[in-house]
Amino acid sequence: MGLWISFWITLLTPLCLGVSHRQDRKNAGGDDALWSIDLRSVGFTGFAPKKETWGLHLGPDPVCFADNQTVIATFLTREQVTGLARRDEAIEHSPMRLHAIFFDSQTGNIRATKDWPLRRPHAGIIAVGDGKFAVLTPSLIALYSLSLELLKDLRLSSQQESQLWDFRASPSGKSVVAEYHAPKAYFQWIDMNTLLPRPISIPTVVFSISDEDVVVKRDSYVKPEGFQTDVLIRNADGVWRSVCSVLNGTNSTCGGTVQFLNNGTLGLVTPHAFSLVPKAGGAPLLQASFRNDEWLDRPLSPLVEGRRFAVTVWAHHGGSAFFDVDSRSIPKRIEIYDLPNPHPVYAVNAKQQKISGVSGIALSPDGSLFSILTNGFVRMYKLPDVTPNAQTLSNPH
Amino acid sequence: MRGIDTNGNFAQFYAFAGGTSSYFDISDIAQGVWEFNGMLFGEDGYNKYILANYADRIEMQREALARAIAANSDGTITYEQAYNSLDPTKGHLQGGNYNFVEMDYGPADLTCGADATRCNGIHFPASGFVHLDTSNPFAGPVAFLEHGFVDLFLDNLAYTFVPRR
Repeated sequence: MGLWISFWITLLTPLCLGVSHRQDRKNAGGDDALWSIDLRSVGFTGFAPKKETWGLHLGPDPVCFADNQTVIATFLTREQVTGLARRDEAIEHSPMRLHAIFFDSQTGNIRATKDWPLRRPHAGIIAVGDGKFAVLTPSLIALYSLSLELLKDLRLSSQQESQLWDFRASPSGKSVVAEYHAPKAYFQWIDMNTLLPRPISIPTVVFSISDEDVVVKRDSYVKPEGFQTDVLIRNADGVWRSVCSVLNGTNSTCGGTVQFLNNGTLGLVTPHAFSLVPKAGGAPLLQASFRNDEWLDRPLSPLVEGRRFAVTVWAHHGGSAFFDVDSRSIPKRIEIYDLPNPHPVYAVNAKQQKISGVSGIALSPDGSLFSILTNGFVRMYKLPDVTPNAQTLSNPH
Repeated sequence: MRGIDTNGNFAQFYAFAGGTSSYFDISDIAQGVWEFNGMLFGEDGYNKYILANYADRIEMQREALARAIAANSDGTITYEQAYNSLDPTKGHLQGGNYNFVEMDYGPADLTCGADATRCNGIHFPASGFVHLDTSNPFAGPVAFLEHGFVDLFLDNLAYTFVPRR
């Protein structure tokens, strides 16, 4: 009798139910993805704050790999309020929630789900290495193991909570800078292993961090020559050192949006080109440029295995410059590059795959898998091996 | 412009002011050709020419736009933060308004809300770009006419740069 009870309990667990749901959705995807799952089956409603203003920029990528076996997709919900809430009611009764779905990265089976209450609809999850992940909400940072055990948390004071603008993570997730606007900006550097914050001085909000360094970019008006772009780097609280400098954007490998791709490599992204340079400066490791009707609207993904990264190429549809009418961004393709190869080793054609929007992209730590969150679907793709002499697509563009 | 050659590869043009004539490759035409003060440019060359020769006007628009972003952020973005976030070096001219690259702030950071690409003159015409219009055309009939006259009619036909202070 006991055996039968345990059999039925096992059969009816959400994990087992997830397998059959997955098969249905995989077939509905109709593409060459390893698997594809509709988050609507686990509570995704498409909710995104639109008209409210929350004075908060926080918005981590909604998909990330905790390790090679686990990919985490997140979304927010606002549940219907049926009764009056008391002013002193705990946040646990808030109608806004951050939901995290933990998938087996190979099969798409749901391993676990968890949600957290929110006061403001901005939150997400980042991987911090060693199989751990951190939940970032406007009121706290919570560090978890993959078994969903809370390891540590850092709660913001009510003043910090009201002044928080963003959490900016290093590519590895091992460091985070909390940016507060009061409205003048002040910053805290947080080691994600210990969750111990320390004040740090950063002279501009245009910056990116690695585990040890801060890089900033300045576009100064120098009369009468024009605009002087300087990319500067500093270790912790050391002195600023120039990575590159250029007048009026004449050098295509200096300027644009500057981001760390790993602890030693910087990405410089302009609307139609990107280049990767060593943080010490010098010759670019890789340069790629795109047609004038192809746009790089999102940052590059961090480097995995020291060489692999993803680039999303967009088309701007509709709109008219003459009549000052807006255009909308439509993903065209997602390309995977292996340093130092200047050509993509893999590309996902958005039109062929019926991808009309990209909310998030992530590469597995070993570079073997690639996940996209698009229109509420999580899709997983198998990538070719990361090799120094990876083969290139014959006609990637 | 004379047309395309028998292979469909070239178009001949005459620039009458200087009496110059030459040929475009068909791919140049597909990418766009700009004429400015009697000079012909591709898109990149045109943007660099504007940046090098009109930096003072671009700077004035940058300052005005930074003030507008700060004023429409409900006190969460300072003028200095907005100013630093506006990248003039990879932007381009749209009519008489300069489109700055803006990857730090967007509609969701302003008081008009995330789905408002126009907020009291601040206009995000495409992802990653922002410029300052004279007014929001959807704010009322007067603003509609003002935007139409200044930002469309004068911008495209009279101004190289709309003067902003």
